[in-house]
Amino acid sequence: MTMGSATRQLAPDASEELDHGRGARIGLAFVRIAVGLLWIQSAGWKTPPDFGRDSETGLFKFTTYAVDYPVFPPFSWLIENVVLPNFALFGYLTLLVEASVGAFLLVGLATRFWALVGIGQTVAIALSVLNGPNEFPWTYYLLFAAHVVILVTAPGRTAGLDGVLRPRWRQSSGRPARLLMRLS
Amino acid sequence: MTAEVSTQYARVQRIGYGLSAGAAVSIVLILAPSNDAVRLAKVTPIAALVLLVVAVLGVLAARTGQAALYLAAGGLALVAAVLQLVQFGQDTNVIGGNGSTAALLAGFGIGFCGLWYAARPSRNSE
Repeated sequence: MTMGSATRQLAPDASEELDHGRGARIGLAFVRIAVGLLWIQSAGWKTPPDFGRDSETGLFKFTTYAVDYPVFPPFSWLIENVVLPNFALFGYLTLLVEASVGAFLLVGLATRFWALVGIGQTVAIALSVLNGPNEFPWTYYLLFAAHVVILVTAPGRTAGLDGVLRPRWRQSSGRPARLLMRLS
Repeated sequence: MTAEVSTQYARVQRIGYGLSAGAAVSIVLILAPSNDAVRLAKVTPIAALVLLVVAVLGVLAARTGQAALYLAAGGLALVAAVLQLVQFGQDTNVIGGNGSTAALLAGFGIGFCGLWYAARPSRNSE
């Protein structure tokens, strides 16, 4: 067998490539929208002004899990000494972050950036509640995995705002447009 | 109209119809029981009315291609989301609902405002 024929035999067939077809694109858009809805629903039980502090329920209860059922001691220290003493501020930040991740992923704008924020929020939640009572660790592992899929496939370009805005950003030489090209 | 501009117009129109359908379908959530399994977002009667108007404006915008109508739809949804958020946790809240209501409205607001930006004539096509 000559080298040339071996190369021909090993050359990948189109059917072995990653699927870029309509079904794959619709599936990825579905994952993006589903994860967006997850964060939108999650923003629903972050209730100001005390976020459950007085009744020891809601966000406050799950945040204290980081101290009562530690996963990573330095993170527990951070929660106990920085977050809990300033809980109202932390509560509003959580509400804002989760509502924003949900809203932006729902419509597919700057999808890669918001997937990264979602990964950060997932890690923070996992480090708080992973050892808590009645928690199923794979909830957080799967949530992490779903965000990684969104981060690497940029599904805002399919049935999302990124798909219609990227041509506009590409025409622009401005810094915000170039940044948005990277974040989408 | 060049082929590129025509493709972009069709893309914007498709997303416009999609977002309008999403806003219209969200109104159904007003019927959802107070149960996390099915209530993806809390939709109050006022929020449902806002979503209905946003959906109608979105369909009109997609049909006519008028960028200003996308801005009207997006602006209305964003104003409602901000109103909900600034009154959240207080005794009186015109929009009502919770963080999920604000997030849902904000999503449609951001979406339609993004379409307004995409639908405006670009310098290259003028």
